[in-house]
Amino acid sequence: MSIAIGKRYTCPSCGSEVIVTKPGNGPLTCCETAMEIKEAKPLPSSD
Amino acid sequence: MRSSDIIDMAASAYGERPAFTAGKDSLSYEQLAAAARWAADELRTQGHRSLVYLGQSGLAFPLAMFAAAYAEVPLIPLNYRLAHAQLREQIAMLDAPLLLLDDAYTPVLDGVSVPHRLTAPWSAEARAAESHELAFVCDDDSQPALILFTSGTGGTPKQAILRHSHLTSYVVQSIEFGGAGDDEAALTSVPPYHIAGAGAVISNTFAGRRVVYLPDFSPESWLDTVREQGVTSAMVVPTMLARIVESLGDQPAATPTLRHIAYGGARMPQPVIEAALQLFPDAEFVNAYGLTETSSTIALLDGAAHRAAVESRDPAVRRRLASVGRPLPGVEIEIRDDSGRPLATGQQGGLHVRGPQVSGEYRAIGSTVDAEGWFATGDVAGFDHDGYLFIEGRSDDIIIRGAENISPDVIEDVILRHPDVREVAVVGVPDEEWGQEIVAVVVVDEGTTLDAEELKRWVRSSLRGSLTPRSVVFVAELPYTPTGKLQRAKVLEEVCGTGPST
Repeated sequence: MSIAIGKRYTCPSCGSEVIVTKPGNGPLTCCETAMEIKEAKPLPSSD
Repeated sequence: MRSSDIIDMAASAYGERPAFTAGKDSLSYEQLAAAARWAADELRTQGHRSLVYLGQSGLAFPLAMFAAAYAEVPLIPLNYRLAHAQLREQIAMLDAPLLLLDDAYTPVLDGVSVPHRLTAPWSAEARAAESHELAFVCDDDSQPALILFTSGTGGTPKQAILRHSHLTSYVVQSIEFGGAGDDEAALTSVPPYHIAGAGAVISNTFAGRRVVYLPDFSPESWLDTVREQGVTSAMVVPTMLARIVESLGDQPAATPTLRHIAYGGARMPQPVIEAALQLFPDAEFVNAYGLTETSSTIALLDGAAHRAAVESRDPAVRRRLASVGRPLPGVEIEIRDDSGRPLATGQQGGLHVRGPQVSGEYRAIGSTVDAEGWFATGDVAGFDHDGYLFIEGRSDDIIIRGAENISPDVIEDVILRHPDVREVAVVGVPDEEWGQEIVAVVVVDEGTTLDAEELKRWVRSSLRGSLTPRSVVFVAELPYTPTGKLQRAKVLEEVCGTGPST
């Protein structure tokens, strides 16, 4: 499971959030569980 | 996360795609990252502790911004429209700066001893450097990234500090990495010393959207640039949109690529946005509300809400055209009374904001957020029952006449609808009977004459009597800050001959 640059992940256990700054092999884990990808509703550009 | 992580990510994901364009010159994400790393090494080697940018927008600006981030020094853009004496005072206040300046501003250096470089040769040297790895890597995002002198529509300018975590939180919370298609281009005509200028650099770099700079705004050059560069989104301050609308007359804009127009930085007069919606029928309009101290946008009204407002017959929905929409993700907004108690929905009071992008910190003053992290914006606002936020104005601008709180905006919108009126400022002057009285300061269209009594009748036909100006003063022009904010304190001082009455 590869981890894509710019994707956000959250830990279902402790709520920590990360953003991927360098792509690589997954999975991402936190609190001994796999982190979940965070889908964000993109907002229109305001600047 | 630091601002420099954003250019690192963009360089590795978007590579040779063009990132910034000024005139016929462009920089790719890779070139920008390499040049900024070289410039950062120079800054570190020479021991500079801040990078000062005194220039117009152009390719040197994002280069300076990311170089400062890599070098772990703050970037301090200065307002090139200020008097030289004032600029010298500001430069003297800064910590071991390297001053980058455009050729046009070299007279500022008279009698000043400060290390400096001209932007053009400095950029050329950085861009000629070979691909470059940094000798140091920093992951502390609590360092200052940007220091901006606030516009000071009221008192003395303050130096607002924005740390890396503030700038990147705004971007990460509300923008999708790689979210822009590779045909997308954003036109930026706000100057580098405005928070939206810095915001445009990092948010568009993160999204992968090319930024096109237009340093010398005119309605004609703006429209030409949109057409020539295939611009897909643009950010304007209200005075710019007003001039674009005026220059178009009743001819639709013929800008087929332009899909998004964002506006903010000051209040938008209703007649201007209504006309703009007609003249750009295919563009989505976004009203963005934010402050320097909050890393730009904290609430926005999107395109769908604009359309719904224009098409609706329900007055509550129509009114939303004057709203700034809803808070961004991660941003909490609370409306409080003067004693700090939260007010119920529908009531107006002081707007307080909290979130990871909110700084509220100034040099020499320190943090102004309270123990729970809330920042008092100084704006008076209220939510409607559907969660739309309405900004009534700066708390200092609200007119209190006979215990009635009056927002000058309401009266200004009515006066602006008069066909002979070009600009207006409504202010409160001290009055023995009422506490304050309403005065309208008006600029009429060239070649027209307008009678004060006629204008008062015009207002009275749409608003209740207590909102009719006691007097009308005609002037040739009104004072604005360089970023288009009306200077009400100056209007009071120069036109009405009084200081601020609050």
